[in-house]
Amino acid sequence: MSLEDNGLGLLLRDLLQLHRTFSYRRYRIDVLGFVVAWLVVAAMIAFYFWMSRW
Amino acid sequence: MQEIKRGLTGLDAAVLTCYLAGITALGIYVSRRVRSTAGFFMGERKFGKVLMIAQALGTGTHSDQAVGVAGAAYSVGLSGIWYQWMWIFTTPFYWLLAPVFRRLRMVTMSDFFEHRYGRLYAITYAFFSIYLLVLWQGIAIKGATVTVSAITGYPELAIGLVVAAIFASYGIAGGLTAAVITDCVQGFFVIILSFLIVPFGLSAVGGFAGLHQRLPAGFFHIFSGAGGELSGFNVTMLVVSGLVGITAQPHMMAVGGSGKTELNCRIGWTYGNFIKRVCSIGWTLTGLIAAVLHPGLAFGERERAFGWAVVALLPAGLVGLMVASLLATVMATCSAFMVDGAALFVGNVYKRYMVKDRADGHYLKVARGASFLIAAAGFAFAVFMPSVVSATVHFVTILPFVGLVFWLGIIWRKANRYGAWSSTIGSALVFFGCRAAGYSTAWGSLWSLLAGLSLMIVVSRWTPPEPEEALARIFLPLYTPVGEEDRLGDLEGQPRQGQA
Repeated sequence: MSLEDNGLGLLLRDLLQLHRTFSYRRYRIDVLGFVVAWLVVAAMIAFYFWMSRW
Repeated sequence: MQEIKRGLTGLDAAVLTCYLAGITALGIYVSRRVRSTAGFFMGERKFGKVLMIAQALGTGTHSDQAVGVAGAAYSVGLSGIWYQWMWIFTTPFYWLLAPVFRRLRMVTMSDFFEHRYGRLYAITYAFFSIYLLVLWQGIAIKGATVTVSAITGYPELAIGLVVAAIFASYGIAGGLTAAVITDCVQGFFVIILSFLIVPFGLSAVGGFAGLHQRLPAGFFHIFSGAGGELSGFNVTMLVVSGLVGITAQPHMMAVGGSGKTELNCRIGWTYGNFIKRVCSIGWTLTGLIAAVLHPGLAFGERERAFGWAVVALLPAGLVGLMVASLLATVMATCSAFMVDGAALFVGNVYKRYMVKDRADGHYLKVARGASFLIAAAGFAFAVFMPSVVSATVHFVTILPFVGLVFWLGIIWRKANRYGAWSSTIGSALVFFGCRAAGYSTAWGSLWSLLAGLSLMIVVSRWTPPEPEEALARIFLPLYTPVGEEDRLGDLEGQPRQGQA
């Protein structure tokens, strides 16, 4: 199995075909990292909101 | 209004001198290992996670941002952070973009545009980018010298000359490798810059309780009201424009693509920028502290708040450290921009169309000469530039004209050069037409993006497609993860677009 099929697919490159070709296994690194990054964004904004209440 | 005595004590001067001498020596020491244009322009694509984070943080952070956010917070409170935090919503997309840049295996953004949309688009972009990089250098130098001059009392011209001479010396010698390794040190100073004043300032105002007692309640709302300068619609359009335009910035190929592995590039670009978002909190708190201790600055003078806080709150020795930090941010940015500009000129103009088929050592020498001229031009811009803010806003709004073309070039195989030219020119005309008609920048950006997207789709569909061999140079690498290079063959031997 190639690296592409084992998690290193690129969501942006395949954006127009995702409705046909998406699989979590193929895009695992993109999906996981993207979700984690959004969680970091949410955490930072939540911290800033909490800090405003100090 | 409390006036503060400017100037550096002997201890401050010693700290600053040690820093400047040390960073110059480090950069020149690193340059001993740079012997090829691949090393000069892209660091041989060997940077690990730490260096990639440092590169993203150092290249993307300069002191005018700290001064601007502190000034905004001085006027409006905690919501002033959104002048930097508007980019926080684009940061997760860097995780997705970084491997795209790394897999392209190119040196400059102009390389991409030449393969994707032809020689004329690439040359136009190269000259546009060199101009952008020189102007950004000028903005960074100007922003730092104004603040440092306010703190120290030294002339702006002398400060600018010292800054330009230092980053030019190690950048010319060591290229991107020197710029990135010094970014590691200077990234540390960025963090110092961001938080050094805060404990001294909070102590002076009585902590967070003191801030709440002495500032209006509205200062602690993290979003400003609808219709204000940071309304929901304005921020949304700035985010969208920023996300579209980020790919047009000429230094992105280095920031996103010079890591050893795809994961290094992802982590570096994404988390280097998250560190910058955290630093923005320190800048905001500095602005609030200054609003309590030094009230009364007019709106047009609010950016003096940061410099005032440095002189008023920091003890001897730490003022010198803060001045070093301010200079560190601008040198980190400018050294990288200088190298990127040299790469564009040498790789996409000189080597391609002026002097061909010479040894790599010749092009390395030319790259160093071009770096010097770019640094000199940036310094000249800083000397003659009247305003930092207006120049900065202008370039953020025009980048999407080219950025949209990059995005569609990756996502849609049928995008072609005719669509690219139509999109770029059309979106620019719509934006400036909207502005001339009195629409806000946000509405102008919205109509401009819609026009650019429509023109790319319609024109590309009705005009001849790009040659398959040119598309192969783009999409074959994109389907080839780093580590499977044996599948690629000789990428540089792939034919380039023969016609403009």
